This record gives sequence, C-alpha cells and structure tokens, in this order.
Amino acid sequence: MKKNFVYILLVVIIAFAALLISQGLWMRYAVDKNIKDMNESFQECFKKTISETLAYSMSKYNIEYVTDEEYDEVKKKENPVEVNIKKDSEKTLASIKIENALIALSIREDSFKFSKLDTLLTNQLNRDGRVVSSCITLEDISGNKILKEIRHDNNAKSTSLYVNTYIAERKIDVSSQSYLIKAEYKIGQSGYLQKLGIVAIVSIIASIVIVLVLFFLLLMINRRCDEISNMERSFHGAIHDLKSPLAYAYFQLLSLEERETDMAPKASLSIAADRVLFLTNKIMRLLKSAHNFRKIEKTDKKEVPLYEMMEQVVVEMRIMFPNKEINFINNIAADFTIRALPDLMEACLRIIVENAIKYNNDNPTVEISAIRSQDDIKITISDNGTGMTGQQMKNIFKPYYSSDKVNGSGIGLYYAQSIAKAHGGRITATSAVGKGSTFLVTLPNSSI
Amino acid sequence: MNTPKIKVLLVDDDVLLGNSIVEELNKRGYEATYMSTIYGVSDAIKQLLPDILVFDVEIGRENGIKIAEDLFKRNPSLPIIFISSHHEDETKEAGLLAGGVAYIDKPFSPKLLSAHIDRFTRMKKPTSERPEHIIATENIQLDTRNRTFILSDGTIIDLRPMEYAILKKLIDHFDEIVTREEIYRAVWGKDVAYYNEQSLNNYIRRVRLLVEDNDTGMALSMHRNLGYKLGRKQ
Repeated sequence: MKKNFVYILLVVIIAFAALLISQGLWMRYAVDKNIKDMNESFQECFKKTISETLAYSMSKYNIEYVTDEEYDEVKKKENPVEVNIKKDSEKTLASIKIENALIALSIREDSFKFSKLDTLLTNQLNRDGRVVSSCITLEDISGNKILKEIRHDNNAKSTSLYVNTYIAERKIDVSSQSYLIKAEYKIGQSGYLQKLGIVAIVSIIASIVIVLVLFFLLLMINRRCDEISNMERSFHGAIHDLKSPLAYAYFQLLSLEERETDMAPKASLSIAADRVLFLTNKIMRLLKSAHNFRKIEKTDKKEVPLYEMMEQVVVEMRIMFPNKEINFINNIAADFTIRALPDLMEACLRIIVENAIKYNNDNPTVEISAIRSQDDIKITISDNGTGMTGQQMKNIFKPYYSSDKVNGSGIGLYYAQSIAKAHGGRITATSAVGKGSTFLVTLPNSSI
Repeated sequence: MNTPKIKVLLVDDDVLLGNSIVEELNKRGYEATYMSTIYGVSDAIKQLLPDILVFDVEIGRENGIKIAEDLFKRNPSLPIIFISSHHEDETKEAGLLAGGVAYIDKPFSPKLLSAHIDRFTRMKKPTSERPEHIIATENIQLDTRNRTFILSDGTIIDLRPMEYAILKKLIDHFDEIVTREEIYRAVWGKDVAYYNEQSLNNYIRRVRLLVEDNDTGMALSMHRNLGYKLGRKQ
C-alpha cells in the first residue's frame, strides 16, 4: 500500500505538471493573440487619429476636412463635389496622397498639432488599457533629423504588471520632402491579465480540490482496508485463542487416561482426547484456509491407499455423529492408490463425506468410488441427503459461504477445493434437492 | 539407586496449562519449575541450572524464537524444546534454527513431553549406553516409560495406549508372526468384554501407517489365517 501511495503521488504530480504546462501554453497563446489584436487596433487608431488631428488643423484655414466616417453626415447637409475614382485601391491611394500632402503642408506651416495627436491617441487607447508612456516623434527622413518629439510619462509611479510597447508609423512622402511620424506607446493592460489570472487560478484551485477529494477517498479506502485487515487479524487471534484451552483439556485428558486402569473410562477419556484433537485440527484448518495453498511439490506427495483412507474417515464420522446410522458403501478397490499429501487429501475427502452425512437424515447412505483413466483419477462421493439448489451450488466453493447458517462455517468446501487445486485437480458437484448430491474429485493421474 | 532428578524449566504464558504441566512432570519424577513470563528467565537459568528448557514460542507478545536464540547463545549446552500452537512450518524451522532441539505442537500429551525431555537430557549426558526403558529394533526405538515411538532422525511420535501395546508386542517378536489373538490379548488383556474386531483392525492399520509412512525401513505384513509380522521392508 505504501508503494502504491508513492505511485499515486507521482501520477498526481505528473498530471498537475501537465495541467500547469497546458495552462501556461494557453495563457501565452492568449497573450500573443491579445498583443496582435492590440497592435492592429493601435495601428487603426493611429491612422484615424492622424486624420482627426489633420481635420483639426485644417479648420484653422477654414477648410473642412472630414474623415471617412464623418463624410456621410456632411454629404447629407451639403452638396460636395465628388471625384470618382473607380478602383477602390486607387481611391484609398488617392485619399492617402491627398491626406499626406495636407499633413506635409500643415507640418511645414507648423499647424499640425502633435500634442493634439498625442492627447487624442491617449484618450482613445485609455479605453482598452492604460497608457504608461507615450512618445511621438517627427523625423525628417531626407534631412535625417528629428524635428519634434513629444514625450509623456503618465504613470511612472504605478507599475503595471503587463505592459507592452506598440509602435506605429506614418511615412509622408511629398515631392521634395519626406517625413516620418512615429508613435511609440507603452500600454499596460492589468485588467486583461487579471482576467486571465483569475481563470487560471480558478482552474488550478478546482484541480487541487479534485486531487484533494481523490486523496481523501484514497485515505478512506486505505483506512477501511486497514480496518478489514485488523478485523481479520483479531478474528484469527480469537480463533487462535480457542486453541489454548483445548491444549489444556487435551493434556489433562491424556494425563487422566494414562493413570486410569479401568478399561471403560480409559476408552472414554481416549475418545474425549481424540475429539479435542479433532477440534484443534479443525481450528487449524480454519486458520490455514485463509492462506492459499501453494502448489504441492511432486516430491512431497506419497502413494496413498484410498480405500483405507476412506475407511479411516468413516470411523471418525461414526464417532462424530453417534446418533446417525451411517451406511457407507466403499466401492474402491483395495489396491487403489493416489499420489497426494496424505493429511491434506484426507482432510479434503473428509470434508465432503462430513457434509454428505451432516446434511442428511439419521440414516445416511454415502457411496464412494474411484476410477483411474488415461489422464485423471475420478473419485465420486454421492449421498442421499438434502441436496442443494442451483443458487447454493454456485456458491458452495466460495469462502465463508454456508447455506447452513447454524452449523456451517462456510470454510469446509472452500478448503477442500483449495486442496484439490493444489494437487492439480478440482472438485465439481451435481445435486438435486431432496435426492442428494454427488461430488466429483478429479485429480491428475500422476502415475504416468 | 539414587539418580538426581532431571531439572526442567518451563516457560509458557498459559498459566493453567503451565501449572498442570509442571504438576504432571513433578508427579513423573522430574524437578520442574514454571515461569509465566520471559522476564528473569536468564537469571532463573543461572540459579536453577536446569537440564532442559521447555519454551512456548509465543510468550505474550514477545517473539519467543528471538529470545530463545539469545538464551541459546548464552547457554549453548542447554537444550531447548519449543512448544507452540503455531503449526506453521516456517515457525518450526525458525525455532529449530534458533537452537531448539525439538518442536512440539500443542496440544500434546504429558508423555510426549516427558519422552522429549528424557531423550534430550539423555543426549546431553556423555553415556552412550541405552537406558533400560528404550527398546530398539533396527533403526526404530520404543520408549517404554513414556510409551512413545522414536524414529531414526530423532522425531518422537506419541502413541495411544492401544497402538503402543500392539507395537510393543510386534517389536518384542520382531520378524516373527504374531497372531491376532496374541495382539488382542496384548491390547485388552483379560478384558475380553471390550474386544472389538473393528477397532482392532483400526488400530492395526494405524500401527502399519506409523511404521510404513515414516521411512523406518520396515513393513507390517499380514499373513492370512496366521497373523501379522513386523519385519524389514522387502
């Protein structure tokens, strides 16, 4: 479980790192897109503002200079003469040329208000962000000197987290001279970054919450697992504790038996001791059944005479069920042997025979036979007992399942099946309610 | 003859069982001392100088094997017999590796314990002579005092009274045919009232398994209409 935790932690860290990386990439993409958008709108704004500034300076000469948007208004009121240039591109070119000429004129006359341009631009831009600093220069390209420079530092004190520099230029070529109006604006957009940041933080918090919930669940599962294993341990402990009074009883019974000279009580004490031993073995079986058997090594197996083993089992059964008149039909040939671990195989067959007698009337008939074929050995144990329903049949080999809620531990057949499997075989059952059951133990024919 | 009593130190946290074991051992002529905890065992060994230590592997919560290992290192000549209700092979192996001479599963009978004590205190003493109460045939031994069966590898097997009577009879007449009549007289004596064909068969079968399953190199053969013979494996 400890190791699992390390793995889970590792996976969580990797997933978290992936989340952070993807968030980072997304933010970068968003910022890039934002800068691009902003640049476009800055260029647009610059162009428009120049036109507006020009219109402002033209009003001085009583020349009505209007921008494209204002033109439609003007058209309604007055009746301007329109020069039609067919091609759209040429139209733009022509208007730009005219505009450039006018700008050049107003520059020369010093009526082009750069401060106005700056104010307009700043006002416009302050809608989307905050202009941190601005710089508008007028350069005489032909003379290669700066004619004018307007510099503004609006909020030098407050530092904005997210500031970008945008540059826009307007080249004005008139026959003799060429000017360059250049605007360099630093714009802070804390609002945008805030929004992005909030989204990122919310998603990170959400994922942390999910991870915490998962960890909490894992912790709960872990705790439950611990509880179960504790329960199992205390259950084992409780079973184990049953053995110590039995050990005492066994010791005392045999000590009394040894001293007893009268045959009848001696025999009774001997049987009592046997019963205690039987009970101890049963407890051992319960304890052992929790561990799965490993495969039994070939070298550990012995040649076991089956007939005698079954006779022995029935002797025990007669002691166990003194009220039942057991009719035992042993059809096994006297020299029939199987290779198995004697103790385990006897326990396996004993469980089946015990069930055959236990779930039966007071006059049970148990018939056992064995056949050796080319591949396997089939031991059949059939009874005339109460039988089982289909539902019961499905579950009988499961641990702790018992149709008998009073006497059954639910471990017997599971244990028997484990033994058969450890021997490389298996147990199957057929049954009819009221008629009896037949258990078939199939073992590999290892004599080949 | 005044032989000194064998001194046994028993350590077991089951007080009821421990006391009854000590009582039983004292009745059988040992000088047994009982301790219910491991605390002070070392001192007790120094004081009492026991001939043998009988030790429950799980005393309370302590791991008996670890402690035994420690005790063994300090007293290498002291034989330690483990008794435990843990029947797992791993525990047994660990116990024997820790320096134990034998490992007895609980529950056990008084005579099985005393057979172990006898055997391992005898081994300690330099006399190679076989004590009077041990009958040996081939490579098996019968402990007539404790009525147990000792294999060549030192394993001691507990015998029920009937099994012992039959085995004794067969070993006394090794390689000879013993009739059923003789066997049943050996078992029931004159108490013919308890004679039971079925249980006689049963006991004979148990004896046969005992002899043949434990690699003793012997076999119990049946001779029709004559009786049984314990002899070398053919």
